[in-house]
Amino acid sequence: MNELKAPSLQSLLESDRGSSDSLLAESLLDVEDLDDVEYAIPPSGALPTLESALSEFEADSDIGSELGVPIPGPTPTPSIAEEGGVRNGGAGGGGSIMRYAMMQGVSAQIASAADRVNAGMATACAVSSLIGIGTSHGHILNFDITQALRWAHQDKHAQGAVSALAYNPDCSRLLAGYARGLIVMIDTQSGDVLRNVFDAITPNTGVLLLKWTSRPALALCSDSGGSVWSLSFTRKLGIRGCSSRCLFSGARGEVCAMEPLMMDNSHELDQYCIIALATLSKYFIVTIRPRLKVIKYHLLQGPPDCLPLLAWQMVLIQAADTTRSVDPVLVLGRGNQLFFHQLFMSNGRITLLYLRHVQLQANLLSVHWLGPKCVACMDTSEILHLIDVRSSKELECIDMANAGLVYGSAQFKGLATGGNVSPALALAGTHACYNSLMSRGTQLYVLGARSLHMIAVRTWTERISYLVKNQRWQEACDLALDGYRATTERPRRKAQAKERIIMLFKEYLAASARAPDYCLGAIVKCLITIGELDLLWTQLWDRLQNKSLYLQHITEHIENDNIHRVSPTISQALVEHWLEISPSKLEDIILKLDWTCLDLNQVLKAAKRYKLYRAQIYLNTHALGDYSSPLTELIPLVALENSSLGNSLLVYISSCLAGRGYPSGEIPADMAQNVKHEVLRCLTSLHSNTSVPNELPYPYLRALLKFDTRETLNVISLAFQEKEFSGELGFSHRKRIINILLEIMTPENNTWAEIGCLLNFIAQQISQQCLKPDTQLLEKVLNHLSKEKITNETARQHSERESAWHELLINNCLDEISSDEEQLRLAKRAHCYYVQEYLLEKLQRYDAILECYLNNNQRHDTMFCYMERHVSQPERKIYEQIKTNLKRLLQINAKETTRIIDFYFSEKINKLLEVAQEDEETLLTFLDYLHRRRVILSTEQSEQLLALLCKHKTEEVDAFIQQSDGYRIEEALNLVLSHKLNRTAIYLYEKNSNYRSAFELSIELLAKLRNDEAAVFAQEISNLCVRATGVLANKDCEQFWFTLLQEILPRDDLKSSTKQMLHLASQYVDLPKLVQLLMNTHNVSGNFGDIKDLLMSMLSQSRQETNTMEKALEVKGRELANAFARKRAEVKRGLLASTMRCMICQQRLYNQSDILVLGGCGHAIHDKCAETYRETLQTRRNNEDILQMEYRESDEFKINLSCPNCNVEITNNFYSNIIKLSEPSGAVIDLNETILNTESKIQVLQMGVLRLKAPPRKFTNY
Amino acid sequence: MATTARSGGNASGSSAQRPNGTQQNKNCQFKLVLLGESAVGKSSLVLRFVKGQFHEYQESTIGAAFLTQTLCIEDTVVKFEIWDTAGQERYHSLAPMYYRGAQAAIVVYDIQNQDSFQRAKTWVKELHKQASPNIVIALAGNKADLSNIRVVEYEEAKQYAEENGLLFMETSAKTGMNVNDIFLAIAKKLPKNDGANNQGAPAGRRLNDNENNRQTNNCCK
Repeated sequence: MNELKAPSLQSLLESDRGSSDSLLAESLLDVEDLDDVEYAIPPSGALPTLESALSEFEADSDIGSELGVPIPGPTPTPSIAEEGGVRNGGAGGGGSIMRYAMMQGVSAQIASAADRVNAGMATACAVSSLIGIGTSHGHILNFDITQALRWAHQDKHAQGAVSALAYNPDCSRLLAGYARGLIVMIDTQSGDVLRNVFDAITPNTGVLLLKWTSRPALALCSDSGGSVWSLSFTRKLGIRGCSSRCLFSGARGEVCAMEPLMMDNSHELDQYCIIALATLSKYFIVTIRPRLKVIKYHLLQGPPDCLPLLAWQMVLIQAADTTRSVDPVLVLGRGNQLFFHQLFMSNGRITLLYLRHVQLQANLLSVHWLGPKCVACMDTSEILHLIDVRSSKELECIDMANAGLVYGSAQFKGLATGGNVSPALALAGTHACYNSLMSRGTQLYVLGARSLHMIAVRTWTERISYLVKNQRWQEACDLALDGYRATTERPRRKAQAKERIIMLFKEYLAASARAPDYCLGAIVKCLITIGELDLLWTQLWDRLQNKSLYLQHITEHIENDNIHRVSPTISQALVEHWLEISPSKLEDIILKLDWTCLDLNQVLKAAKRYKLYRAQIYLNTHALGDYSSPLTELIPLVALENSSLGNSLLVYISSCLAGRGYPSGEIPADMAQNVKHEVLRCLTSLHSNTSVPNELPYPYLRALLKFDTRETLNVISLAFQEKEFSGELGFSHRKRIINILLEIMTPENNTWAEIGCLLNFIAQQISQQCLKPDTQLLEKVLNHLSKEKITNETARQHSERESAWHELLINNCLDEISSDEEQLRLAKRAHCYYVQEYLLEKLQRYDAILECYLNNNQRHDTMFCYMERHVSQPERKIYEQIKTNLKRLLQINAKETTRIIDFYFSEKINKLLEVAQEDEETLLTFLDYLHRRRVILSTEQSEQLLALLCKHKTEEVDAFIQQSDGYRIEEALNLVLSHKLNRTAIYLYEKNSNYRSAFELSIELLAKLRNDEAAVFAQEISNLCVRATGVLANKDCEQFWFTLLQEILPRDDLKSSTKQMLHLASQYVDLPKLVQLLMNTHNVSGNFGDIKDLLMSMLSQSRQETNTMEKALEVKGRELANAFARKRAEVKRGLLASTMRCMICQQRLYNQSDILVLGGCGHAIHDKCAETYRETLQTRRNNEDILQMEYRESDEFKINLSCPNCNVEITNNFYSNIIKLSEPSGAVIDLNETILNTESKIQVLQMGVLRLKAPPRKFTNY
Repeated sequence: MATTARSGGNASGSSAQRPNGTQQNKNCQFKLVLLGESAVGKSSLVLRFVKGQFHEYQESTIGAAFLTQTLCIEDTVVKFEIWDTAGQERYHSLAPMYYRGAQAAIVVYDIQNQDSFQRAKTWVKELHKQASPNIVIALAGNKADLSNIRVVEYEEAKQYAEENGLLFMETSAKTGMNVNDIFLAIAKKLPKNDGANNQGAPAGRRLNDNENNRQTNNCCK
């Protein structure tokens, strides 16, 4: 290789590949082999065309043309936010939004340059309408849009790698920055170097970023020192020059990202030249023209190994107040955070407005706008995420690890200039790829070491095309519909979207000719949504072999009210289809469809055959405007068919008479009147049109009445509320109908219940003043109403009869034909108590009203309300009526009755009780409920109740005995014993404190009981014993226990409770005796377990007692010792005499006699003087204070003794503190018994002497 | 393929070539309505035309019946959507719904029944008054097989038809006489070229190409 001078790349490429240059071929032979395998370089011979290159991946659209076309503007691209599910939903096909393509031509050239001319790996790229690639050995390759190499530049080996490239906006100049700091400007047409700028940036640093600004001839450059330089290119007198100016010094924070705002001239911000800059801790928005000014800066936090990321995009922003504006939006990325800011002019100032924040899963390498709606983010694991800005959701992701992304770490670490960069920048630079990821419009270019890749975002139409091409019709349809729906309110776009869907439909038709059923539902839905029904009816229908699926889909849409008409062809098929499967479903469909699209002949005949009566009615009325034929045709069938027909007809008649359409809607106003008349005429026609000879008159109405009298009458009564039936004419109509009804409903043809319905109906009509009352009719009605007995009359019918009658009475309709008295008699006979009550009320004969209530089972509840309501009115005679009907009232609801009596007639209870005496049961109930209401009963009443309870309800005796104490115990006891209610008796004995009797009775009872009962009872007895303990003497108690135990222990059935019993007993009786008893009872002798506890408890009890004793002794001893110590401390305290004279005798103190120190004051007296002082004091006291007799003699003196000099009180123990002075006579001062040592005694003595001489000090009163 | 039914044009000129390389076919769709008094043989006429059948006791139509038939005329495939209305008086009010959007109408009378001819005249009058102005009307004197007991003379009807610009034929559903011919005549008279029928209601539609050939041949005789 050394002797071979590498030919220029250009010449290499211009020459035929695999040329006759044998030398070259030989020398590169092995390399080429390698290339073919590893880098998939196309075989030499022909440069691969772009088409062929791209078709290897997908023949979507060619890149060349895409590069050529202007950046797509806002085409009818509906937001792709709505369906992020596409990515997951696609059946193995992956997402449809991002399109990946490898730039085969460019990649081949990069690889070949690296291999053949030692250009090194690619390090930087720039994409505009040209593609520029820089390599690590300083080569620059320039490609045009067809990926053809236009020129290569390769004479800057010494400058290190190409670290940054930038095309100017019109693509006529390329700026290239090198790792060693050189900046070169190249003419893109010729490849000539126009300027070499050596000293533009900080010396000994490399170029990191190069950006053209929106001003021509003004570029920006940042270096590895973190400084930003503006480069203004000049051409003075034809000499090209460049002046650089430092905008930001890296000393104050290194700028690692910068992004100038490029925009067209229409925006108000275009007068400014704006750039966004970011350091590792802040970001800035700066204008550099017309003057340098910081608009905004803000902190930007993030992990230290992540670089800040910046990207601008013009975005249509709809504000909350629906104003729209196209403003630049800056996306700021750091770590896994994205921040969106809008830049706009507000009051002449440039303002940055925070829009939103997006948090992603992983840290980011790059952020680029791909169109105004989405942002592409490459994360650190080289996965490209497409984020929809509006929804902040990830739409798709694609793994770019295979691209072999180039990182600009070497430049950030300044390897080419000796590594003179800050550690922070070097660390952050590990993930730098500012110059290897470039966006252009909706495309993103990813530079690999030996390849260039492109990711493009498909537009809505492209995505549909893509899905169509992959035969993913379902997704394509869904997407198309989403797009269509998103175009609401924008007619032009809507039309475009519609056109696209129609195109999709055509593609579908063309593609699925073999399997016409495939994804039919989706296509049908599409067509219905966009309203292209004609296509649905013709093109889609005609090609189907099996129509049933299609019909199913159509049916679904009809049922969901998406379509209301279909073409006649389809409707015919639909009818046939559903007739086979489910005629009832067909009926529903017919009712939903517009009748004009139906083949009436077919449908009506089918409806008749399959008895689709509702459909028949619907079509007859709507299509034919024929409202009477459903009646004439269908009413005769009512009797033969199930009830649904009859009911449907009733609904139909009702809605016709009310002017409503069937099954929904309204009858047109101009027809309504006619329809009503027609229907009514038809109903009341005397004979059917197919009149048979012996037909009964009014066949239609008759049939309906026969079908359901009540409902038919309801229909008529509803109809009567219409305005046609009001007024003079209306009344005559009513009259006529009523007469017809009466004529039809004869006892010969109808049951009485049916006639009853009619008469009730008439009565209602009369009472509502809807019918002229006429005597004959009234009599007829009254006759029915007052019938004594109607066979098979249900309660409901009866109450209807009653209420009809009641209505009549209320409205005074019967005045003319009978009197109230007469009515009352009739009502009584007919058991119409409600009517009777009304009449009584009317006649003010209150004394019998309660009886009406009593007789009417349904109204018992109201009866009590009635009583309460009127209880205060004497004329209602409630009390009297209660008295009369007491027994029945108590039977009906004793609780309520008693409540009312107690509440309102408490003073008359006794009288009522007298009434109740007649019947024992009544009395019992009454007393019982009175007792339950806590009414205080007299002794006799209580005992009476007790007696009755004993007799009739023994189970409640206990409860009564325990709750009440109105009885005499003796009497109660007698009663109870006479009824052998032993347990109650036991309770009573106990209550009477007659424990012995209670106990004896219990034991007696226990002897009779067996098993569980006995066990429970034994427990009760033991409880009794426990209670007795407090009252009886110990001996008696013990006897109780032993009797009980003697009873219990031998019994097998009480084994379970034995132990418990013994345990209980052991607390109350002498344990040894208990053990003895156990030993003697032969039944338990063998069972040590039973007495083990007993013995154990004895032992533990004993141990406990011993412990207690010991503890008590210990405590006592300690108390004594403490008291002694206190005493000693007291005694050891020194005493001080402050004067040298006795206070009494005024003699010197130290005259060989004993001294008393008086206390706190320190005065002292002689012992002997004290004697006299006390005596004199006492005699004086006795003389002066004779009244103070409460003082005891001894106390009085002590308490009142005070120092004769200063009246300081002297304490009680004063006399014990006699100080005996040392006397030569040898009398020993008994200062302290505890001091045995003579030596220390001497010391003490000396101290005592000393102390006497010590200066006086306060002596606290002890 | 850009032309769609939305355009409202009745006959699309552009159509894909047949696989066998024959000349291009136009596809037209026309709505046709049959009118006339009851029991003159409207349903029988249609049944003969569409299915080639004849029932001696054809039950009376309720409302209207819908049928389709396709004809081949020269290079055009004509699809008739036929609404066979009921003749009974009570269904008279329905008729406007069917003839309003129709491009063609056949008014049928019974040659044995003068009243039916009079009724046919009133139908024609009504059509002239209320239907689309360029509706093609044909007058059919049905039951021609019973011409020996005819009441309405051929000349009388012919003259009436000429005066009013109607197609006229005497037909027989029973024998099939003139049945296809009258439909064919109508199809021929109907405008099939683009833009000829661009006013009025949406008239015809372009059909899908893969039309059933058998059917086409069957009715082109």
